[in-house]
Amino acid sequence: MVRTSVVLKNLGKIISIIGLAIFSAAVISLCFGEAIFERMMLASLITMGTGTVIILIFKNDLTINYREGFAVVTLGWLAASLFGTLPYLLSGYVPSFADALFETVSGFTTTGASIFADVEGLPRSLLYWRSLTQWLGGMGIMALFIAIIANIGARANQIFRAEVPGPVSDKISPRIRETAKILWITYLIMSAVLVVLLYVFGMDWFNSVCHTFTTMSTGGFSTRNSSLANFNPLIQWTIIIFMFLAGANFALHYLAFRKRSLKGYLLNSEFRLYSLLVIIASAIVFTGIGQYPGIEERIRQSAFQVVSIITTTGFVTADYNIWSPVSQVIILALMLVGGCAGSTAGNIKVSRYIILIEQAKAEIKQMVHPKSIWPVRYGNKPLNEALVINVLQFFFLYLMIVVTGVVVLSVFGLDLISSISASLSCMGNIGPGFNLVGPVQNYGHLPDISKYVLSGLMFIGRLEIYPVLVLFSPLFWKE
Amino acid sequence: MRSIVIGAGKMGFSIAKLLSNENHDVVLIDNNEERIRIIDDVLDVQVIAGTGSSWRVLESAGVRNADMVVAVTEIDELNMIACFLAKQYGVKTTIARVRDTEYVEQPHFSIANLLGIDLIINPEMVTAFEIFNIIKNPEAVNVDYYSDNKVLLAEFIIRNDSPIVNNQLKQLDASKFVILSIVHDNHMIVPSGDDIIRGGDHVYIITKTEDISAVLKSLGIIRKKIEHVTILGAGRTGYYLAKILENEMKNVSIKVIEKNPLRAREVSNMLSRSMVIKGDGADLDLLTAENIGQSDIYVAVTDDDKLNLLSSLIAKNIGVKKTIAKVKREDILPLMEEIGIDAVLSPRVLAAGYILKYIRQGDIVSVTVLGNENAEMIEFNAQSGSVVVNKQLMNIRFPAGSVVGAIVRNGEVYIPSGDFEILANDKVMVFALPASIHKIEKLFSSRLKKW
Repeated sequence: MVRTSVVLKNLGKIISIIGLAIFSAAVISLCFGEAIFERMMLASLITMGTGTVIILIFKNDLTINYREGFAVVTLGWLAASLFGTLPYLLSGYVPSFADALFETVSGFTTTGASIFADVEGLPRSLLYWRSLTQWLGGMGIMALFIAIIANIGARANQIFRAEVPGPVSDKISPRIRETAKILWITYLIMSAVLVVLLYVFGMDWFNSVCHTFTTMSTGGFSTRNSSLANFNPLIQWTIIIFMFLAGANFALHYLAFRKRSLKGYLLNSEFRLYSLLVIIASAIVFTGIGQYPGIEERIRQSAFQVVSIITTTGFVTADYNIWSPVSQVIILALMLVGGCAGSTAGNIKVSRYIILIEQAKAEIKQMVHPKSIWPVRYGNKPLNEALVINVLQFFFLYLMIVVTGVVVLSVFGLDLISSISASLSCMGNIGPGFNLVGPVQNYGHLPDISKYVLSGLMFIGRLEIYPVLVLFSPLFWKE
Repeated sequence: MRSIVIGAGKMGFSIAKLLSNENHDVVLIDNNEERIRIIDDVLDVQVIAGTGSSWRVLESAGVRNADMVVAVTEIDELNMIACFLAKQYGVKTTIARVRDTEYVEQPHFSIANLLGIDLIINPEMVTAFEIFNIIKNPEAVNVDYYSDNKVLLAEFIIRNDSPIVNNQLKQLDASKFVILSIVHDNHMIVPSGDDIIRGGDHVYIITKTEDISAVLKSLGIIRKKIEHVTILGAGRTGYYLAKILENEMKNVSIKVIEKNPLRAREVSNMLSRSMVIKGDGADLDLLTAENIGQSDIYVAVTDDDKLNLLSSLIAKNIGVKKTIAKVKREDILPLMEEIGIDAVLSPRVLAAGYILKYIRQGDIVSVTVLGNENAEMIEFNAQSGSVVVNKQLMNIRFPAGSVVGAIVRNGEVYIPSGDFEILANDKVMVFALPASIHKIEKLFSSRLKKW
């Protein structure tokens, strides 16, 4: 049974948090003396007002049940995306709702695909808002909701897990609220470090903050039309390292900090494979980009693009559309990988691949010895069958949805490579694709219907399919 | 000596019987009154019905005057608590059966020390280790280790084509080992230099564990390489054995066959590189399909004696070189070897022997009974003031039917020759036929003490 009042009450709280976030953008607007200050303020007041009214109307203090948990996660994200469009719409810089929705969903899901051809022409408060949506969506709106708002009850666990990327998530603390807080604080501290580093290496404060928001969340929005291409090598290396860290499990970062030891990284099989993939992919890409004269530049370009795509960030320093086929194929292949479980990255995730490979190994051994039993292990822990099936199913659904996306995009006029890469890129929360949606292009030229479809893909991809699909099941709404 | 045995199961029964035979005053505690009554009829022990971890029961069993408490109920925790209580009452020696390895493997502090348990015994683990010893030395019929595994005693069968056949013993290069005994036509002798080894004889030799390869070479025994081991039954014994093999013999491939699908899955999760097969050990089709005939060693350790027996015979029949079976019933132990199973082990006997080894402390450090003639391997502590100290071996008059096998001094092992001089506090390992055991004991005990 799904009780509307319980779901709405919690949505009200989430909307209020979004309202506060828009308010911070309005403050920025005031600081820079922008003309759109009143409209930003209006957007913030509308959002906060709606949230408060809903909270006041539904005075119940009932705890969320299992099904309502899913509804709160998915509808909460939807509500955040809808109210997040207000700054774009009210400021007048994005007149079309399809464009505003695409941009907001791309922000919250940390995709980084944009409809803007010229971001440098936008007021600073809007640039800040774009980056902020990514930062909030990176560690998770629900995690923030759980960390800030108490007495959500036992369902907090389910809500948290529905949003945290990856098939297996570790609870750092026995209490899920404490876990959410720890992760957010880790995220906050790493962000603070990055802001300072970027400033020291030559960015101004405003750009440092915006790029930190979109690096730590593996989002990919930039304040420049050329993304990261025109910043100095030192800044680019810093961004490479922090994208890489943001694509790793934040629980590992926290534990490494707590224990003052890097051992945890080495013992983690997912982190090892993730690092190995980055190194191998960079090496192969390196062989295909002879056009860069300097050896340092060549290493930097390959590492930047590989890390940017595998962590699903989507920053660019080069137009890989003109790279040699081998380098392009690697980039395309990485669009199906993603970072680690418990990171801010999207996509299928390295841990799911580990489980798929282990399952395949067990299956083959089983074929040779029909009566033998082989456990599927992740790290050293044997996994139960339900989780393995869940991962297999996830992989199937993921590809099905991507293919559906490709078909729809091509029906509405996009060419093959652009359709495939756009669908992969949005489902994986990456950002840039190839050809017409390539690294120096944008999504503004697509028809509205395609933008809605891609927004849907980003949404489904960020919540890792199941919480969204559950809501489409008729069984879910029955008593 | 007053000893209290808690738990009158099969193990408790064996131990009570053994201790009673060794002139202990045994009190047996069990909460199953039926069981207690049966034992009261069979053994010369006092029986008390009740829980061994209860202070009332312990006090009524005379724990204040007891020298030893052995707790061997089915329940680990009860055994540990009983030992803990007994230690508080001042009992000198406490022994507990603890089967959950979690309690024993605690890395940070010793649970046994904290609770005042002197010896923790895990019969399945003892059995698994015993089987492992046989697997490690597959050419031997029997293997035993002493002094932290540094000294090895083994029984071999000498083949007809061995280079040492029909030679006199004094012609052999015996610097690295001592031939303790030769069994010819079921007759055991302690040989002198003039005796001859014939093809088909069993020999008992003692050597340093590290020298075993060289010794095998000089005895003309070809080392068999163990590559495949199959274990039937993934109970505690089978699981422990697979785990030991995984850790100790990296090149050996291990197959574990288990009938119960749930247990099979559970064990496959706990083991890392063993192949767990779900199936019945008596199913010839399965054994053939899984190529069990290619195994070098087949170990049957299910809880079912009959299945172990049958399955070992099938395995032998389809080509397994060596079969080892676990049997609970002691009375059929000799029968099993007769029908072609290479080694038969009884966890109960092993565990009881293990406990006996521990409690027979004092001058005699440890003892093992060998062969049908009840010869013993005894480890003496050479006391200062005894006849043997500060003398060369050839000047000591050892009784006929006994021989010094090895000497351990400060943890170092020596395989002695005639001019070796024994010092006080050496541990001297002597092999003796039953008739000479008493005379040997006199040689090693202090003369002063006698008077």
